[in-house]
Amino acid sequence: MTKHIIEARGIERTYRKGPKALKNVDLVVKEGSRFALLGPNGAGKSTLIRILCTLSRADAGTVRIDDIPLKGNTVPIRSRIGVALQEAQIDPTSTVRAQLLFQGRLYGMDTKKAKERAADLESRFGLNESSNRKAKDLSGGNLRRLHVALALVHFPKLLFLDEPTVGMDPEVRALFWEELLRLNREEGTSILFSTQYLEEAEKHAEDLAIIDEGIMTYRGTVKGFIDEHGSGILGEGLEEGYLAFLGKADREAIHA
Amino acid sequence: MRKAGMLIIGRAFKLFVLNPFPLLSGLGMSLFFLIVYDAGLGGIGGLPEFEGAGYLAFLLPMGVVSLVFGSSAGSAQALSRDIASGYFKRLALAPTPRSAFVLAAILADAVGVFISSLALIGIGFILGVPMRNGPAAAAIAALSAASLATLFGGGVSAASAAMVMRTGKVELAGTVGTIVFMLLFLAPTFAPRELMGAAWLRSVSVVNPLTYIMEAMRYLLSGTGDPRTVPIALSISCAFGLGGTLIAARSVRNVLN
Repeated sequence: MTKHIIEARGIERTYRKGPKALKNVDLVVKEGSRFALLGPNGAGKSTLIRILCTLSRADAGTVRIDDIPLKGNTVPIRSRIGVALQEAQIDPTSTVRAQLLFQGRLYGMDTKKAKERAADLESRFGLNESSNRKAKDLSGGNLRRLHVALALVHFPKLLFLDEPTVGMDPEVRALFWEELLRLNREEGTSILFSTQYLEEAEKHAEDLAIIDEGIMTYRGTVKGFIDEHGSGILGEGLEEGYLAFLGKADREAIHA
Repeated sequence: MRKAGMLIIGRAFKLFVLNPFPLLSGLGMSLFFLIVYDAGLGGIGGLPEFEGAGYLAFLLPMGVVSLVFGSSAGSAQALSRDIASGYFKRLALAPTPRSAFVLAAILADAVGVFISSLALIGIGFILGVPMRNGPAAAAIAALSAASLATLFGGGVSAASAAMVMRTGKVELAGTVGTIVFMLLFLAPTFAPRELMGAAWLRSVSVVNPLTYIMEAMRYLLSGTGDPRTVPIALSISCAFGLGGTLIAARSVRNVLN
C-alpha cells in the first residue's frame, strides 16, 4: 500500500483583508515522490505550502504529515521537514558556516556532526569559498544556494520548496536539481515544490497539482496531464498543456 | 528541546553582546541625568522631606528607571532584524516552541538591565550616595533594587517586542519606552510627593506605577520613605514582567500569519 507523506483534506484559508485564498483544497503526496504545485501568481500555492509546513494556520481542514496529524504536533513535524520559502530566510550578519552549524545544532546534532554536515553541504552547493563570508556579502546566487542548503541540514524526510530556483543562474539551477534528485533517489526524500518554470516541473516532477484562485483544478501525474492536455495548437508538452488548461478553466469560469 | 532552548538563548546573548550600544547609551544617559539634575537641584536635598539621605540618593532610582527605557528596546530591535531578514521564519520552522525565540531575547534584555542597574547603583555609591549599614548591606540593597528594575525592565522589553510583532512596525519598538519616560515625569521623580505643587500631579502620581517602583528603590537603597511601597512595587513589576512576556509570547503568530 502506498504511504502518503502529505495528506491534506478540505483546507480553507481566508486572509483578514483579502479574498478566500484556499477553497476546500485536498492534496495527497506519495512518500518518496517529487510533486510540483503549479498555478498563476496569487493562486494560493504559497499559502498552501505555508499551512503544510506549519507556518500558517488553516481556517478549516485537516493535515497529516508523515502520518502525524499537524494539529497539536507541529514540533515533531518540523523536525521531519525542510523548508525553503520564496523569500530568503537568512541571517545577513552571520557567516555561511555559522548558519549551517547553528541550524544543525538547532535540530539536535552534536557540534562534530553539525560541522561535518555544514562542510558537506558547502561542498555540495559550491559554497566552500564563501564559508567564512557573512550572508550580506554573498551574491544573489550564493544566497539562494545557502537558503536551500539550510533547509537540508537535518536530513528532512520531506522538502517544501516554494519557487526555489527564482534568481538562480542556469549553472546553479542545474547543480541545485542534481542535488535534489540525488536526495530523492538515494535518501528517499519527498519533495513538494512550486514553480513558474514549467520545464522544471516537466523534467523533475512525477506528480502535479494545479491551483487557480484557491481551487485545486487538477491533480494527477505529469505524464497523465501531458497526455490529456499537452497537445494543441501551441505545440506539445507541459507548458502548452498548462496554458491551454488554464485558458479552458478561465473560459469555463466565465461561462459559469 | 532543552538543548535547542539553550542555543536560542545563547544566540540572543551573542546578539546582545555584539550590539551593546543600546545598553551603553542607556547607561550614559542615566548617568548624565543623575549628575546634571544633582548639580542643578542638589540644594533641595537638605529639606526635611528628603530625610537626610541627600538629593543624589533621592535621584538614583530615577537613573535606574531611565536605564529601563534606554536598554529594553534591544529585544524588539533584535526581533525586528530577524523579522526583516526573514530569518525569524527559519527559526520558527525549528522543532522548538516558537515563544522560545521571543523569551530568549527578553531574557537577554533583562540581564542587560540587571547588569547596567547594578553598575549605575555602584557609580551612585562612588559619587556619594550613603551606604546604609555598611558595604554588605548596601550590596544586598543594590541587588534588590536591580532585581526590581529587571522585572520591570523585562516587562518593558516584552511589551516593546509584542508591539513590534503585533503591528509589524519596527519603528514602534521605542513606543513603550517613551510611555515609561512620560510616566517618569508624572511620578515623584525629582521631589517627594508631599512637595508636589499641583494637586492633579499628586493625584496622577498615586495611580502611576513608577511612583511605587521608585519609592521602593529609595527605601531599599537609602532607607527613606515608606516600606509598604516595596511589596506594591514588587507586585507591579511582577505583573508587568509576566504579563508583558505572556503577550509577547502570544504575539509570535502575528508575524507568521
